[in-house]
Amino acid sequence: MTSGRIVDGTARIDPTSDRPVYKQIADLIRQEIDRGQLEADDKLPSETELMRQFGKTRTTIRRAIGELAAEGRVRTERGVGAFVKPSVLPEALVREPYDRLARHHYRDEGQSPLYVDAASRGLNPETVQQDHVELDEVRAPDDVAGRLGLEPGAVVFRRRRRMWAGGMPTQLTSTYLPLDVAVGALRAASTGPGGTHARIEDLGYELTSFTENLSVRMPRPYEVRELRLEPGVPVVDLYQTAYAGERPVECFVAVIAGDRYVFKYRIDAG
Amino acid sequence: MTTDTRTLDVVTVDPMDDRPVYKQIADWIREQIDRGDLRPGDRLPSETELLTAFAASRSTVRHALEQLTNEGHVQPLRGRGVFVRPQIQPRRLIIRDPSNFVMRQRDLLTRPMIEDAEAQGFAYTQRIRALEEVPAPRDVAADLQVEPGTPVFVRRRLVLYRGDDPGSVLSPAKLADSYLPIDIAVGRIRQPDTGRGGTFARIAESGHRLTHFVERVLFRMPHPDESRLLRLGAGIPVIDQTRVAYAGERPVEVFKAVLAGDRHELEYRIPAR
Repeated sequence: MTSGRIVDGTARIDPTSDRPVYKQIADLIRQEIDRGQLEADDKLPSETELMRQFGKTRTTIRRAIGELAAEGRVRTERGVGAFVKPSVLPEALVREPYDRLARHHYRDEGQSPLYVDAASRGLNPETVQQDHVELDEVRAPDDVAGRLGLEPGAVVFRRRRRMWAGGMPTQLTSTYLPLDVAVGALRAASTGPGGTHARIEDLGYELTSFTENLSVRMPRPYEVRELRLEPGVPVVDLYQTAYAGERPVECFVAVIAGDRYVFKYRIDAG
Repeated sequence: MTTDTRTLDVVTVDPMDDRPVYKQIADWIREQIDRGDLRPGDRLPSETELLTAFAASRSTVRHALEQLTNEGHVQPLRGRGVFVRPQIQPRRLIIRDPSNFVMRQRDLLTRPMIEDAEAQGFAYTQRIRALEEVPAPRDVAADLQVEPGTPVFVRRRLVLYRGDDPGSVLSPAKLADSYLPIDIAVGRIRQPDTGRGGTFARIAESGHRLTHFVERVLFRMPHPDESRLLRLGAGIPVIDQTRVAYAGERPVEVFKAVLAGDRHELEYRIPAR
């Protein structure tokens, strides 16, 4: 569908309202989306068509569309038009910690959690790729040191990567390990089947629990570039800490594209 | 050097660049912020300075500034100009996964959410926005395994917090809507005060033993009504949380919350298995 006529546009703009006209136009288009008159991937009427329907200038129409783009309700393709966009892409991965962190995945199947995520949408594991890999020793940021139970400024091993799935960058990650844990394959560019968790257990630690902390914010400019984010897409700050008994042995930090992941938790009432 | 005395060199907009002019201007300002040339609290060059420097129209410059405002990088202060937004973070309330709430509610502790907030130094209060029967919206209907439009009972609340940090005021932080099938929504569940142990305790008393929860979380920009009710500034995203409570196979409650993104953190504890 490519029409989506906003019925009687001029009649629905209130010239006496305090609300700027471009916001009123954005409201009307938003209503069409909310009512299902315009669905995901539908093309909005062209600028020229909207100018005609609302009897307003191109600048006003562009501001209205810009407002919707900033909210993540539409995406614009230059020279093509604006399209309705869901807040989470249909191809978003489902991240289900109670499953993805289960031992059988990393011990028996040699699957790291990121492979489990990709499998949630039937993606070929080969599309899970990494680039911009950096391995170094750094002073732990305060939030990481706290989670690892280390003194502020303690030196830790860090593996930084950009992760891809299905041809899209999904997250920028840093794996922090205490120096005594970061030995052997844990310092290699590739950690091998089952990833970091399998290698930590190879050292004789038994992982007993994880905590996950999530918060959200708008991306910084380099994150927009690295994750190829569209306007109106926030990022998730994730901290995942792995424990062997009382001891935190890994802190995994990720900046995740908000429109490429759904988080799902199944919690038993016990 | 303060930005007030800065004179902008003429920055050439590249006509061969694929990006629209307003994007080139927004990108240029963003880079200044990224590099630290413009610091939190600094005033941006005025509209007039920018349109002169970029040889662009005023509406193009405004478009660029709107984009940066929407991204949360800058904030316009009426009559004073546009400023790089200070990175002051309100302290975040940590919302822990519901398993411990359920455990505690079964012990008939009265208000686990409130106790948890108070333990973190937050004053917590809520206002009932609505207690009513409504046709189930499509997404709620799917989670309750009923046809869209089936009557369901909804409790809509606005939750307000005040932190213990200086200057913190009681302000809206969360929209919480609880949808229940009509046959479950009986007695005190329909009252403003659901009594000791809250909705879960009342559901359990009616013979539906809660067995598990499935929680879905996504992160997005707010819709305008959410911005208004939560008084969100530009560039503040929200946490969109849906939690379905099950008694065996049967979904008995769908809880939908929209949390101000600058004021919350979610925490889950995941046992290894």
